[in-house]
Amino acid sequence: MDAAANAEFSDFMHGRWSQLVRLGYGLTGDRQLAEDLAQTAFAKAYASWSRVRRADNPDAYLRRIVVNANSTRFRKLRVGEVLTSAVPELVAAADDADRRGDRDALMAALMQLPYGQRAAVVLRYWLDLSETETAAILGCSVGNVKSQASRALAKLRTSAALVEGGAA
Amino acid sequence: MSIQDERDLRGRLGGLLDSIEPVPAPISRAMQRGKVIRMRRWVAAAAGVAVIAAGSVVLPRLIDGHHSVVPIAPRHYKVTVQDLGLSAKGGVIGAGTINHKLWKIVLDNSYGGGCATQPYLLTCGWKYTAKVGPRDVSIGGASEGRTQFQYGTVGSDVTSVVIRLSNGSELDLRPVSAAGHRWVAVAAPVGAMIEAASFVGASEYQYAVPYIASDYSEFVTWLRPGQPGLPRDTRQVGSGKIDGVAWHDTVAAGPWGYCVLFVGGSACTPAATRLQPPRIGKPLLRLSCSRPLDSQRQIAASTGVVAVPAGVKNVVLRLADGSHMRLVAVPAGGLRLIGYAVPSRPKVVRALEYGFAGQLVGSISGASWGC
Repeated sequence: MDAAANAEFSDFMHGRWSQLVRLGYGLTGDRQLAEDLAQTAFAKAYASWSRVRRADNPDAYLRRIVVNANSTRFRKLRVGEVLTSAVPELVAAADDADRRGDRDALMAALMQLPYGQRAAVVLRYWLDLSETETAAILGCSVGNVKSQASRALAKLRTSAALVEGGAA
Repeated sequence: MSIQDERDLRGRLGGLLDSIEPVPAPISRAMQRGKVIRMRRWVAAAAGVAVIAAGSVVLPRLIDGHHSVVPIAPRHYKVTVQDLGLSAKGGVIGAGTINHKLWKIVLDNSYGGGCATQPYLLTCGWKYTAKVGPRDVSIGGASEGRTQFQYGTVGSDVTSVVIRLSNGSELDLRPVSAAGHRWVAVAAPVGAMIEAASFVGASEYQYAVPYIASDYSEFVTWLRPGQPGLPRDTRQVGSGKIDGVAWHDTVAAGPWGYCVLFVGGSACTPAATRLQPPRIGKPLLRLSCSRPLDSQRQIAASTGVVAVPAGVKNVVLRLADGSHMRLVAVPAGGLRLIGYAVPSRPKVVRALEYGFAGQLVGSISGASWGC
């Protein structure tokens, strides 16, 4: 790529980096992993920059990479869970939620949601995307997004981590 | 603290995620990783080219002893295109350089519907120019030595066509008006063009992965972004000798559609998805038909590839002299295909279709089996 394209990419990444890391954090609960996911998304965008820069919605492209990359990682982890007896850290976080503040309790509750529901919640209720936009990123139907978000909301309302955890 | 409603959830999520302060954007690191990803893609593309090259080169050598050109792009090359403005001057619809040597594609009405090649120069008439829809692209190829040319017309809404090369560079072709059409034209080393994309405004509208033949890339099927096209599948579907001349047919299915390689050429059929196979007892779907090549004499025969119904295992051809030929269907590209060679005399009078249990399932006329 020439210098102008590099400069254009640099501006693009600079403007979106924080939001993408936050999206990754909402999906993983792990800051380092979130930064890695975001960096992977930008690396892929750089590799296809001529196409991405012309896309109607480059933000949707980046978000899709982050969601899918973490989904792949999630599937790999599930296999690992069968093989290990170690207690997952996030379960411990949920158990200790009463010693944490509201944010930690909410994060613990989020992490207890199935991945699809968690992704639907973060995209719909944090990024404020429409059901159609969310469906496009998750690669599912609008109806599926509605049901995922609805189930997630129902679980969060009764989440032990939230009921027991927050001070408020 | 419990979640009351959607509004409550939005507020709490905002409090959670907006409070995160990431490290500064690692821009140079992302660029480095992006370059590695691109490099891997080029290697994968080059490997794909090599596999196709092996299929198209080794077979003729084994069967015919003929020499063919290996369609692998050189490792290092540089291609440029010139911006020619909105309308062609002197019939020039494309120009640029390949490794600092000038190339040019010129329209000349005296060539009618044909073309003539010279080193780094293609001259074509426009008599049989394809009509395209407002957002469509129709480009075809020619070659001269190690240089391939692509040229064709684009619709009124198409603002550019980007050609991606195996060395990772991209060529942005801006349509040039001439003879009542809008043209794009480009030249590059044989095997170098690995993808094309058309743009309407700033948005990519279609893309095409070419079939990389031994002489030039064939952009046959245009797909919408995100549409994967046919999975890659290359199979030999028939070979043999007829009247002392060797023949063979190989079908390569992929995002380009279906391409048949036969001795002396190839024929491609556009397809974004698997073609619908014919029904039992109905005329067959023909993918190619050609005359076997022999430099010494004319061979009175036809060779070709047809798709048979999904439930057909083999076909028996009855010839006018009472003899018969048994042909076995080969699965390729989601179809059941038969490569065949039949003489012009005696004619094929009937084709009998047999199922997997050996039962007769259909009978059709012999007309499908000649060119």
